[in-house]
Amino acid sequence: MALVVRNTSRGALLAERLEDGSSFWAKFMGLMGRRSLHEGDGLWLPGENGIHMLFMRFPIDAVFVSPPRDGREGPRRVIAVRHSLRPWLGVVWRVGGAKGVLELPAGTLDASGTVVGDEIVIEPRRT
Amino acid sequence: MPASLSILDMALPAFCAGCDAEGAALCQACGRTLDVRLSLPPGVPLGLKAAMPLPLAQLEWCAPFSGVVRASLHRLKYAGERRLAVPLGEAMAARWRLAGAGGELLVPVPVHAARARVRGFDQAVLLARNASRALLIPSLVALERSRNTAPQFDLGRNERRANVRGAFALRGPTDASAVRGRWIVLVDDVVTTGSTLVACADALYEAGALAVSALTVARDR
Repeated sequence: MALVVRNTSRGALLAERLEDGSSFWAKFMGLMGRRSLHEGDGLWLPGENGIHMLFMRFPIDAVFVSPPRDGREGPRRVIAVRHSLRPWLGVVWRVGGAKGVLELPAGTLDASGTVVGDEIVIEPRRT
Repeated sequence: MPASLSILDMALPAFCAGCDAEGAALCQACGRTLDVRLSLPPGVPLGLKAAMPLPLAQLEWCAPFSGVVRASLHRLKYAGERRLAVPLGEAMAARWRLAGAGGELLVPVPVHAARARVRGFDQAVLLARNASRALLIPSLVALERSRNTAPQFDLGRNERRANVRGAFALRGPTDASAVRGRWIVLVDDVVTTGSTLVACADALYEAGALAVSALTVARDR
């Protein structure tokens, strides 16, 4: 299912083509081996609280979010951000309290002004 | 609890800061001393010096700075028993859940980088992180101590204020934008006169914070 993610605190769209990475295989593979992530693309890893950059070919921004406030699609809070994690070298072992990670093209955080404490909403894309 | 800590627990079991019983860093019976104010109405009771340090919207704490609470904070800070940050952070969260109003971002009162380096950690950051997890309010190390101030504990009221005035600043532009327009809750281990909290609040208001409240483990009088 195609998703979108917005930062409602900043009124910014973070990704308009957000891939749902909830299956085991999607989480295992992540973005490994891909050539790039275009502007507007992103990967959502629900439930995760740490990521690595092994076998990656391009830098990404990562957003660690809290569990949803109500229901499965309620708003979530940004509890940590990482700018431009480098291929192979970047790693975030664990962000306490995080229940999901957004992987976005490098530069998305700065472009949208996303910072810790912002509220984000992940929802199905209406076509 | 992270796996690294569970392994540490097996090799080096914790001893209760209150009664020295082996098991938890703070046993259940001793942990109850952190709940003494849990059901009290919010606000600073009458008769305390400086009822409310002015720029703060609210000041809440869990227990007086004595006995088990004092021993726990000393063991966390000076003996490096970081496991204590979990029960202490959770106690703060419990008090805030009942007595606190609002709050969108927890910001720890930082120690100077030099002292954090010697100690190996910053206790307020650990406390804020644990409280944040329990409250589901994000925490952010937005402030830094730009001046290495003298420890407050053997200073008088006015000296304290002068000692910390202007000692805090936002760490960077992204921290400033995280603070702008938000209701901040400062987190620290102990409040005495509130001078440190006020100095932090000033820096946060200057960066555009909407309101600044404060939450500590203990209050010393």
